[in-house]
Amino acid sequence: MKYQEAIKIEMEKLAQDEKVIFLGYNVLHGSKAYGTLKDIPNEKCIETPVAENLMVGLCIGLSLEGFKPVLFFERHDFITVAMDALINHLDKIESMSRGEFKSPLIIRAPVGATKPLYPGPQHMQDFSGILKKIFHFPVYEVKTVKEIKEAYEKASKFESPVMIIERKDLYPEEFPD
Amino acid sequence: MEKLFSKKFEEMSKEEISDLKQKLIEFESSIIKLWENAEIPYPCHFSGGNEEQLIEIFKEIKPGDWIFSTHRGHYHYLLAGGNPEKLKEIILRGDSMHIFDKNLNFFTSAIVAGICAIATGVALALKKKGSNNKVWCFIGDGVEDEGHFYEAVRYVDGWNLPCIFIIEDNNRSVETPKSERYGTSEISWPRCVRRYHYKAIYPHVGTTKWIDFSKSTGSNEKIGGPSF
Repeated sequence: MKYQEAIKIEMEKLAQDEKVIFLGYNVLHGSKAYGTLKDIPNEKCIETPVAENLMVGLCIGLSLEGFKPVLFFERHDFITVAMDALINHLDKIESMSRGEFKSPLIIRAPVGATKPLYPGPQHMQDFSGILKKIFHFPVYEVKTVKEIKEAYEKASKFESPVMIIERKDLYPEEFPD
Repeated sequence: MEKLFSKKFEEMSKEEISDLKQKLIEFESSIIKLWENAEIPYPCHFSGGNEEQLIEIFKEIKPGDWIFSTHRGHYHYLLAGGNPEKLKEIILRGDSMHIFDKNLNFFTSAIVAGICAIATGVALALKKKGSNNKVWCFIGDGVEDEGHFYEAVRYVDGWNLPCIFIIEDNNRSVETPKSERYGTSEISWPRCVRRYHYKAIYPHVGTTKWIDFSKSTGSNEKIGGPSF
């Protein structure tokens, strides 16, 4: 199975849950999140402005009211703009509120592709190593179809946030199921 | 004592409102006494000087509404119906800047402008659910200096979300007045942003008294942040 197809299947499984809602840019337009949200009903998708800190805050707020947001970042590089919402808020809500509030959201943070177009220094960075250190919640790197299935299956059940780091370069690659 | 008051604010007489104002001041004074005795070795940002303005705003806040508060949140919590004894415990364990109460939909962040996007997300959820409840997001005038505020205001205004930002304007970001931060610039925000002015009684943090905290041990329930 293709890596991209495996993600698409996981998105459709997540969409079965009525609490799940997809946010980000290009979730309703353009690439429809690189084809992985192509068959998700439009009413389950919220196109956001390119305001990364706001995007994470919106998801935190939605999760406090019972939704389970799946947030798509077009590229890994752009999450640095959202670090206040991610580090000072999302990561600390459960401990800071002594368990009163939880924020179960799934963040997709793909590392940008290097081919066929080589995008240069601001569109292909990979912060996986430091993100795993800085967050208390799980950060999964998915490099095979098997890892995709495992990561999204776990994430669908968690009450805590989860970040899943896809690799855009792997989208067209075939892997054993 | 469950909470500081038993009646709805709009049903209170002038005397009862004045009594409530006095109770707020007495609560904060009792905490200040402990702080000045070095019994609370944590940063505390004391409220004072805005009792009447806050009571007026809280008349509009209904059960089920969300309240987002700041590093200076004692009065907000008490007026939201928080239990004063519980608040005292929260403060004594070092959480003055981190007051949370799920039963009251009460949420705090001590990062300037940090709550704005989250409050907006809750308002988006309420609108999607068709709820009649609202979100009340209290912020200082320092928040107007932060870009994160602009993103949230634009989104709330653009989608007509049930969120009201209330600027508690004491013309002070830490201790610096607006004129020294942004010159004479005044911005007009859309309708979802309200403002009240007040003159703060206490400095940004603590009181004007010099306290020796070197022998204070504090609570066993401290939580901290990671370092790398």
